[in-house]
This record gives sequence, structure tokens and C-alpha cells, in this order.
Amino acid sequence: MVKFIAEYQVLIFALVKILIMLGFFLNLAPVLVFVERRQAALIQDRVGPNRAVVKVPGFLLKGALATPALLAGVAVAALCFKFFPANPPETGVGRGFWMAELATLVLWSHALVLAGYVRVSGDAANPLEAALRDMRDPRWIFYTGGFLHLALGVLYGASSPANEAEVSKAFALGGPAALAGVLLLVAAYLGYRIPSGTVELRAAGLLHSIADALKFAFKEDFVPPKADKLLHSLGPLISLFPALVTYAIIPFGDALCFGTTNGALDVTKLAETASTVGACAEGQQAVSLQIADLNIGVLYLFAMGGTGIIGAALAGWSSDNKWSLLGGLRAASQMVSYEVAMGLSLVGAFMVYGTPRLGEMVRWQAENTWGIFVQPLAFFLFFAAAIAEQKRTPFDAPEGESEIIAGYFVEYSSFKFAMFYTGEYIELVTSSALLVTIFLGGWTMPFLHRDAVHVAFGDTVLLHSQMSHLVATLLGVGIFFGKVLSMSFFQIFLRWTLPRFRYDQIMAFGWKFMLPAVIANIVLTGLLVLGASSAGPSVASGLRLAADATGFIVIGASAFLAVKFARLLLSPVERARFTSSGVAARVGRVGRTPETPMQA
Amino acid sequence: MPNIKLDGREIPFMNGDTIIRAAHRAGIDVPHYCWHPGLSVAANCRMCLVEILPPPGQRAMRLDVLQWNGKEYVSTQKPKLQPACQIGCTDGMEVLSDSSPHVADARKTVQELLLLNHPVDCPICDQAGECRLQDYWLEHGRYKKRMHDDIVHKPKAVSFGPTIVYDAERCIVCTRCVRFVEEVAKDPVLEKRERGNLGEIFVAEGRQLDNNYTLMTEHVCPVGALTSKDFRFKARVWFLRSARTVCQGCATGCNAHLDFDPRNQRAYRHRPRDNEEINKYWMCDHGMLSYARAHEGRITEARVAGVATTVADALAEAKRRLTNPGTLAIVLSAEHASEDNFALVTLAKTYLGAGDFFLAGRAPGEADGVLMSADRNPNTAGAVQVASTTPPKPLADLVAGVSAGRYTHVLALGSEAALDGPAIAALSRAKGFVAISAHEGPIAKAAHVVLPACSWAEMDGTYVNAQDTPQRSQRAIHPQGDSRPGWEWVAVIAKELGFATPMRKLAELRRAMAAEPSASLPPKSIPAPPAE
Amino acid sequence: MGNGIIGKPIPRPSRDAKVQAYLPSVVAGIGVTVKHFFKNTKELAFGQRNDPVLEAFDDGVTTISYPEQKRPYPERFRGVHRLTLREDGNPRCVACLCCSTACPAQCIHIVAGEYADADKKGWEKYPVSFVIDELRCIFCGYCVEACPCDAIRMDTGQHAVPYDSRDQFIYERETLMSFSDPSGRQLTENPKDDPARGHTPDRLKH
Repeated sequence: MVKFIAEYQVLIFALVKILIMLGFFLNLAPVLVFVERRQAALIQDRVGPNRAVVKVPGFLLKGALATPALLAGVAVAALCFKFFPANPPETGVGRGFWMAELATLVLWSHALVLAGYVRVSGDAANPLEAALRDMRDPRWIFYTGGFLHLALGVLYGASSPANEAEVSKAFALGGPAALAGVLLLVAAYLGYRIPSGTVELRAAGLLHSIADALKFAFKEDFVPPKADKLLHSLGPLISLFPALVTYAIIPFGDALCFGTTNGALDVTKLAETASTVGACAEGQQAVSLQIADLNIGVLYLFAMGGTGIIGAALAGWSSDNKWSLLGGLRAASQMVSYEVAMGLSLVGAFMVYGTPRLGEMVRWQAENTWGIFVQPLAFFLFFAAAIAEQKRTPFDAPEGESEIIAGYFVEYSSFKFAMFYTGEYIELVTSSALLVTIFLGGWTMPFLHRDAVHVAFGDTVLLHSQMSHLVATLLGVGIFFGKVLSMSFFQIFLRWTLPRFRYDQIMAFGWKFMLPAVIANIVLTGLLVLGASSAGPSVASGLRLAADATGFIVIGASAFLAVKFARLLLSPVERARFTSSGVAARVGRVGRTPETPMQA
Repeated sequence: MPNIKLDGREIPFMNGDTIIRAAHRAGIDVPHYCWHPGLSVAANCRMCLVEILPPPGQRAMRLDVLQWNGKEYVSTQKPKLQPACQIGCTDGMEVLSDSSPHVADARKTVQELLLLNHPVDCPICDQAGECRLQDYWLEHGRYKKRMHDDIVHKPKAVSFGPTIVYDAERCIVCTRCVRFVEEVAKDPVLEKRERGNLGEIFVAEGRQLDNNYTLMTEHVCPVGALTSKDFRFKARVWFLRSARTVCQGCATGCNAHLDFDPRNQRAYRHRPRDNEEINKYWMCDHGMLSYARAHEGRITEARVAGVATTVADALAEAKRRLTNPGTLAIVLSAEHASEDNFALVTLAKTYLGAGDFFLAGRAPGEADGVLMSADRNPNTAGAVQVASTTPPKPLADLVAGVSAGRYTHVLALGSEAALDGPAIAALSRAKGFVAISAHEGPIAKAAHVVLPACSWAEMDGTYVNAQDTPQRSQRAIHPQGDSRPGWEWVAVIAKELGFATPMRKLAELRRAMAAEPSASLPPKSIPAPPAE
Repeated sequence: MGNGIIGKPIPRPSRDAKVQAYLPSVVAGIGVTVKHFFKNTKELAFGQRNDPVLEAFDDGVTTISYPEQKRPYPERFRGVHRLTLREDGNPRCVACLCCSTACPAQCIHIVAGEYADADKKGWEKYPVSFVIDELRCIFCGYCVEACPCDAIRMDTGQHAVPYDSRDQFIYERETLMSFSDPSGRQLTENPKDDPARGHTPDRLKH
């Protein structure tokens, strides 16, 4: 096994990495389709896609939902049973405490979900559910949960030397027992509550994307009679292809450092500690979490992205339709125009980072500060150009429905249309990933180092907490994907907010504003970089402090958003109720819908 | 010519004219129910009351009346109104019709009285849409019904005979029908009984309304009291459009309106078209019902040996049959328009060199002395005219000729012929028999190849009646199935046989016809229908 | 020049720095969309949804999940047509074709016939065939307005059902006569519109 891995390690790691990225990107495309539709709906006060239903036999659903909880409960119980007698209280306390906290979390969150369910559906199966349904304010479940968490923490932390042993023992015993009990309770309740008959599963509407994809696959694939058959079929392929290959150079995590045996990489030896950022210790071998670390870096991306133009132009031309031709022309001219601004907007970043390689760029950002703080103008320009490259609102004139129906893909149906569609969303994810990588620190987070959380301002260390290299790296991967997801979300929000530019406005904006602005950015950056590099050490340390300050800004902003979100979740419904029509007024007076409504 | 002044407009009149007739001739409608230009004057509906101004220097005849002003009756005067259908015209007479408020008042009142006991069952009344009661209520009535009692109920849906149904509730007892059967049909079977709002029309004891002009009673009825059993509930008149056609029933050539529904391309009825010289205002039942021939017994597909086939196949077969004919006999048709016959004669004489013409047509019946002629073909005179120097012989000669082998090939136009079974069998023994037929009949039965011709309803054509008056008939509906006008088939056959004929368009054909002195009786233009 | 133009002057949008800079407005707009999205998501997830009928005009999601939830329709909702019946089960329709004349979609086809029985006098005309192409119908209600006999009504409260072939949308006379209003009545609401109302005095009966 080890030998095999050693022999084909490059290939195997490449395959694994490709699978990870492909899995993320390809799955994200339909998810984003759903997200976009759901966003559109909710922004307009509608429910959006939620009609796709799968009819699942109840026992299957019971099995699928209750079994994990059951297994987890049994595992915890077994663990607890196994380790109880021999387990020294010292090591068991921490674990026990966390298990108790986890049990509390599971308890109140499930109670909250159950309360939500019975309050929506209104049918309570037992007095407990009836109580949950009829309780005035379900937020009290959350408050109670929070109080329990706090109480546990106080209980744990306030243990005096006198009763420390008892507390430790209590936690070591009670924690696992509570967690196992709660998990088993959840499993049992799921088994009890999920009906035995056929259950109509909607999964909050997520199935809608699957239904759509199935529909696309089974629709008639219509090719216009006078279309160029070959080019018409080639169009979607060519526009999907660049979207799919560009993620090859995007690093999704820091390099993993493996130990070596006999000079060959050994998968089983993952270094617990890594020496410095971006480099492994002596005798370790690095595996970068990036499919292909090309030396031309981001230039590859522009080269590939440029071919997307051909796809759109071909599709528009070969469809034998004047609207698609117009759309194709618009797409081609718009993409060519913004390609220029997009490429030049990164020149400043190259100067600052000193490399076109994306991995290096992220490492620079990890060492110093996020790109958005050193290249704020470039960030916005690149962002705008990227949206224009994807032909998304407000730059979606190539498919402007109001003028040219659907632009260059008017004549596409079935899966060829789905390819355009998927391509657009994959491009969206790719551009988000690029933005995250170049400007938003990639997989890094301020103060998160390769083996520790290290909060420091200048030379003042505020917090230092050691953790394993593997955990830190995996955390980084998670952070990267999380950032990409948020960025994609944000782009979709942008799409539902901005109206479309007129075509001449798009071109004028591209050539008359973007181009001068990126050139100005290049000149400015050049001057600043020159100045910074020739300045004395006092400036360097000042910049160092400023970089640390940006870390606090990021963390502070994230915390602010988190608090805001929590507040939103906890806010009560206070609608400005008004009745604006006769019917509503009448119904409002009566207080209910008429007894025998004429229902269709 | 002497004039009267109607609402300030000078109208010429002829000696003996009443006001309403002079106005009618000038195209002005003085509202009326009982008056009909072709019938005697009854003056019982009182709808045509007009105000006649006194001659200069004389006092107007005025009546003392009590008028309700909303609170009380006020004594006042109003002019004595007089029926326009009864008062003769004198030169310089000044008449106020639409411009007199008294006349408007009178019309409204008369309208209200006539409609007092009307069931207002317009939804089930065939007259709805062409009913005088509806028209005049909109024009002159527009009041709200004031009587809330139950109306006087009278017999409904009474069968007057094989063709007419009578509804006494709708009847305004104008006696137009009574006068018609007496004066025009000379068969006085209808009479009026009871008085006032009980009045109704009845059929003489022991009789039925079954003469040859029963449908004219329905035609003259200004309301929906008399309805035709044939047309009853078949269509609503507002869906129908009219084509100005010539009746195909007999050689009289009565002018008719063929009413058809353009949506489903069906003809629904005939109406007489006023023509003072031919049929005046009337048509016989036979002619009225002959509209059905537009659809009944039609041949709408080409046939070879009696089996329906495509036009291309039939033409190929016709070409095979007619190429190098030994001796060719040409059958003209008294049923078809002069254009069809002329095209055939032209083809025969000019291109095929055939000179033997025969005339097919319906068997003669009896003349009734009013309108119907003994000759039941619409265009016998026209067919004879176009053959000119070689007058067509009777069809019996052709049968004899084919039997004797004098004629090997026959090219025929028309459907009906006085041919019995053996004669048909004899004809079909010819080497080639190509027929252009609109209807099923002996000729189509005898022919080897049948090409579907249009009936008169589907083509423009000229028909020459028994008085040698050529009259043009308009196309009503589109050609049915594969049918085409007879002259077009002749032109197609000519083309198949390799001849370039000047018959590509109807106008071209008519020019050629006009150039042929023998066949060129200039068709009289169709008189515009007088406004009723 | 200029004196011929009459109209309400519409103020041009102001072009101050905030508008021209574009980005502040974008941020504000995104704020609105984000707020709506998360608020509605939360309300959906926590079961704080509006009542789709009572609170249909309030803020928040009021979508009706159609087959499971239904909106009460107003009483004058125009649904699939029905032909009202007489007491004896015959259609009230007298085949006057007023409805098909009024129909802007030309979806009504009627063939009129005559009752053979003598006691039907007064409404001797009836529809032998009465066909509505519900696919062509635009549910304007003109036929109901045009009907002088209250014979056709659209008070069934039913939508046109989706079918899988076009000919299933052709509703024949019997189909139309089989429908009732939501309360199950198949008779008319307005008996006074019967053309055969009143009675025939014995004296005049044939």
C-alpha cells in the first residue's frame, strides 16, 4: 500500500485534489441555481422553488435519519462504558465537559426545530409538542439553552480545589452519559415521530434543482433546421470547458507536510508541526492543496477564460437566429473589452505579491495582510470585470431578455442549454474563488497559523493556542470553501439588486472608466511599492502594525456580522399590519376565511 | 317631374305614387310594417304616420289633445298625422317625417302598442337580427316597458303547412301575408280573425298553406310570426352574408340573395332580390329551396371509372382518353353558366375541331303562370347562344350516335340530363367520356372521367333567362373540395392536351366572349337592391 | 417651437455625487435584498410565516403552495362554464347563439334543434349540440353577460382542468350540463329569465 502510494503519489494526489475541486464546483453549481432562485423568491416575498417532491417510505427515512443518531449514541455510550473504569479523571474532564455542552446544544437545537415544525404544521402528536406549539415565544428555548451552556461552563470553571475531584468525576461520567442519552433520545423520537407510511420529502426545496436537471436531460434537444449543426453543438462545450479547467490553479488549502521514510513520502506520517508558513520542516515533503501549481499562475486563467468568448460567439452565430447573433456579438465584444481591464487590474497585485502564482499570493497574504487592504481599487475593478466576464447582472446585456429574448443561447434547449447554465454558475464559483484567493486571503484567516492560533499586535502576543498542523490545514480548507460560498452568495445578491446596464453604457464603462482606472492603479501601486521598499525600517514596522490592525478589522467585522445575524434570528415578528383592500378588510373583520370558500 | 319635399329634401314622384312609395324609390325609409311595394295598401300598422304641412296660405289641420306634463293633463293641440302609405303625392307637398317631434312621438307610441303583448322571445326567434320590431324599437322606441301584467297569450308554433310555422304572439297582424296569398299567389288561404290584441292569422278551414309561394309569406312578414320550416333554427341571420345570385330553379332567372355563413362556407337560404323586370319582389318555393343544391348531391372530387381519385390522376386519364379522338361529341349544359359553355365551345371549335354539340339539362316541368317557367334550366338560352352557328342537338341524338359508333369520344359539361338506364349504359360504351359535373347525375354516372365543377354558388357566372336577358351571378362560398369552375376545367384540359387557350382568367374569358359576336349579349349590370 | 407641447413635466433624477458614485446606492440596495432574504428565510424556517389570506398584504412571504393550500376565491370568480337546467332536466339554453356571438375567442359552437313535444311550446328551441373549447376560452364572461336566459354560468368555481390532449378540452353539452355551482345547484338563479315564464290561458291552448 505504502509502496503503491509512494510510486504513484503525484497521480493519486492529483486525482484526489481534482475530485475535491470537481465535487465542490460541480455540486455548487446546482446549489447556486437553487440559491439564486430561492433568493430571488425570498427577496420578492415568495417561497420560491419548493415543489419537487420525492415520496419516500417512512421506514427508509426513519433509517436514514435515526440511524446516525442511534449509532452515535451507542458509540458514545460504548466509549463511556469502555473508558469509565480505567479512565483517569484528569483526561476525561475536558472531554466530558465538551460532551455535556454538546448534549445541551443537541437538546435545545432539536427542541427548537421541533417547535418550529409543530408551529408550522400545527399538528402536535403529544402534550409536549402541544406545549411547544402553544408557547408564546419559542425564543425561550434558545435562551434556556444558552443559560444551560453558561451554567455548565460556570459549574466546570468554578470548581474549587476542594470539590475538583467530584466535579471532574461528575463531568467525566455525566458528559458522555448525557450525550449518549440525548442522542438515543433523538433517535428514538425520530423513529416515533416520522410517520410509517409514505413521506413526501421536499428537503426545503433542494430537490427542485435535481428535478430541473432531470427535466433538462429528458427535454427535446432542438437544433434549428438551418443552424450549423457542428458549431451549434460545439458552442456550449466551448463555453463550459474554460469554466471547468480554470479551477485547476486555485489553491484550496495550505501545503500539507508529510514525513518521509527512505526519502519517499509517507502518508501515515503527517507532521504535527510545521516550521514556518508555506514551507515544511527538514525531512518533510510538502503536498500543496492545488491541482496544478503552474509557474505562469493566473495568466493560465486568463488564457483559458478567454476561450469562453469563442463559445458564446459561436453559439450566437451558429444558431441562425438574429437575436442569438446579436447576443453573441454583444457577448464577444463585452468579454473582449473587460478581459483587458480584468488582466490589467491584477498587475498591481502582481507587483505587491511579486508573483503570478496563486499559492504564493495567498502565502504573502497570510504573512502580511489581505489583498483587499493593499489593493482596494483593484479589488473593485477586478470584481466588476469578473461579473462582466460572466455576463451576469448588471452586465447581462448579451442575454438581455427584454431586447433579444435570451441572447446567444436562444436556440438552445435540453442539456445544451443546461451546459450554458451550469457553465455560468461554475464561472461564478471560479470568479469567487479567484477573488477570495487574490484579495480575500484564500484559505487564511487572520491569526490562524500553520500550527496555532496566534493573536498578536506587533510584538505583543495576546493569545497563543497550539494546534496540530493537520487541523489547521483542514480548518484552512474549510475557511476557503466557506469564503467562496459567501462570495458566491454575495454575487447572487448583487444579481438581484442591480438593474441591467444599457449596452452602450457597458462598453463606455469598460473602456472609458475601467481602463483608465486600472492603469492609474498600476501607476499608484508602482509608486507605493517603490516607496515602501526604499523606506527605512520604521516604515516597515509601521506597515507591520497596520497589517496586524487589518487582521483585527477582519475579525471584528466577522464578529459584527455574526452578532447581527444572531440578532436577526432572535428578533420577534413585528409586522406593520395593514389591510389595503375590501376583501382583506372584510376577512379581517370576520377574523377568518369564509366557511365555504369557492375553492378550485 | 313633379316633386314633394320630405324633411326638406326634394323627391321626385311619378303620377299616382304615395308618399312612402316615392320615398322608397328615392331610397328613404319611412318606417312601416304593413306596407310592401309589391302589395296593396292596408294602412293598418300606423307606423308610417307623417306630418303633412298645409299648402301655403291654408291653416293646418290640428287636433285638441290632453297632454300629460308629468303632473297633470294640459290641454294642447297637435297636428293630424297621416299614413304615408295612403296619401298620394301632389307637386310641392311638404312632408315631415324624421324631422317632426309629433311623428317621433307617434312612432314611439305605435311601437309600444305593437310590442305590448309581444313575448320578446328574440332568442328563439329566427327573425331576430332582421326584425322590424327590433330595428324600429332601437330607432324610434327606446322606452322601458310599462305594462307589467302578463301578456295576452296566443297560439305558438302553429304549423300552417309543409313549409311555414306561425306564432300568433309575435304577430302584429299587418296582413302582408294575407294580401300576398290573395294578390300574388292567387290562392287566398290566409285570413285574419278577432280584433285588437286577440287578432291572429289563420288558414282557411280544410286547407293548408301549400301553394307554390308559401315561403314568400315568411319573406313578407316583417316580424317573426311566420317562419320557414326549412330555415327554422338553422342559423342566426347576423352570421350570414349575402351574395347576389341568380336562381337556378328554372329559366325565369329570378334574382336572389344567397345567404351563406362565411365561417363554415355553407349556404342557408335564398331571398328574392328585387328586380322589377324579372321577378319583382318574389320567388317561388321551388326556387327558394333550390339553394340546397349548393351542397346536396355535389361532386367534390375527381373520379375515374366512378372511383374517387386525385385530380392529377383524373387529368392524366382524361388526357389519355381524349388524345387523338376519332370523332368527338361535345355536350353543353343548360345548367352551367355561359362562361363554362363558351369555354367548351371555344376548345371544341378552335382546338379540337369538333363541331357536333348536344345540350344536356334538367327535364322540363310545368309553368305555373306566375314566375315559374316550364324549362327548369337556368341557362338554356345562354348555352344555345354560345354554340351560335352550330345549334346544339338534343341528347337523344348523341345516345343514338354513340350506339351507332358515329361518336367515339364525348366531352361533356353538366350533371342532369333526361337519360334513362339503357341510355347511360350506351353512352358509357364510348371510347372516352370525360365529364365536368357539379352534381351527381346521369352524365357523371355515364362518364369515365369526372372532373368536379363548381356550382353556381361557388363561381361568378352569366346566366341568360328565357327572356334572353343575361344576368350575372356572384360567387358566395369557396369552391368545395377539389371543385373548380367549369371553364377552368376546360382550360386545364386544353392545357393537358397541349393547347394554349385565352382562358387563364375569368376576365380574359369574358373579353373573348364579348369579342364573339354570336355569344355576346352584353350582360346587363345587376341592379342594386333597393333599400327597403 | 415649444408652444405645442403640453404635458406634465417630470423632474429629472438628481445627479448629485451620491447618485453618480453608484456604489453607495449599490450597497444600500444590497442591504435591502440581504435583509429581505435573511428575514424571510428565518421566518420560513421558524414557522413565523404569514397567513396567506389574512396577512396577504403584509410584509413577509405569503406564497400559497397551491395543491395543498388554496386561496378562497371571490364569489364572482369565473370558472368553468355550466349549462343551467330546467326543472325537468332539460337545458335552459334556447340556442339563441348570443353567447357564441359575444364570444371574442369564438370558442362556443351550438347546433340548434326543435323539441318535438307539444308541451315545450314557448321554448321550443334547444341546443342539440353545445360545445365549448375550454382551451380557446379566455374566461372573459361575455357569454354569461350575453345570455338572455341565464342558461350559461361560470359559477362552478372550478379551473379548467389540465389535460394531456387537446380534444379533452372540448366540453360537450352533457359535460357542461353535469356541472353545478359550489353548493350543488344545477338550476338557475334567475327563474324570471325563462322565455316560457307566465302561463298560457286554457282558452287559447291548442
